[in-house]
Amino acid sequence: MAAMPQYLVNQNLEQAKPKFVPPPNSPQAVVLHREIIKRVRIQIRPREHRPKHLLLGTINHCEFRVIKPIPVHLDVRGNTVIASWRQIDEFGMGNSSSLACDDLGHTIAELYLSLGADAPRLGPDLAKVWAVLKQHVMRRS
Amino acid sequence: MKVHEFEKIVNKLGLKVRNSGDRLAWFEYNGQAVVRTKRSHGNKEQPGNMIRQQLKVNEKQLAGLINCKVSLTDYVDILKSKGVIALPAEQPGAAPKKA
Repeated sequence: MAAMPQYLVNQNLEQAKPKFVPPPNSPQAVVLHREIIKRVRIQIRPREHRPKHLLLGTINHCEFRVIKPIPVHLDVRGNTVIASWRQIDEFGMGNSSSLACDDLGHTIAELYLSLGADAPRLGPDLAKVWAVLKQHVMRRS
Repeated sequence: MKVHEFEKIVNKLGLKVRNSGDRLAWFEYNGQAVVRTKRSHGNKEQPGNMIRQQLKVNEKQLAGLINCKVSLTDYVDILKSKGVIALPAEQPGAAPKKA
């Protein structure tokens, strides 16, 4: 019979564990048996919440460039995050903040194109929206 | 806001719609685009508060739009009172109204 490890022959024995060998010439933490840990300081950081406001510097559309950061307000409704640009009452939705901002970017691009096409026949409110939009976003040449 | 409630408003106000990444809708009056709104595709719950702000109405008026209490004429009056629809300028030759 071939020689078998002792832990396989005698099931009660535990398998030999590898020994930890610290690398030479490296700082090591040494705990002496006589030392008793009397006090442990635990620092609990409060959970970092989703920011309520952020400035959007890019929009997810290759044709447009953001020339002035867009102030975005983030709001959570159930499982959906709503990113809104309150100055022009525009919003985007998604399952996360980034997806909501992406959707808002698409909406802004869409709005830019449609308002740009209808610029001569905009009502007073949409004319203001168009003016604000042009301050923040421009079309790449 | 449910999708069918949004569509009810679209039909009642005769909003023009276009399907893009979202379903875009806008209200035209006298050939001018006055307000616009949108909803996402699918049957997800829509953010009623944002749509209400885009349509320039308060909560009661939005409920009225959905429940048939606010008509198209009422809505136009609301927009006029808020200055969203520009009132026609008085003609120079017209006689001023007496107080």
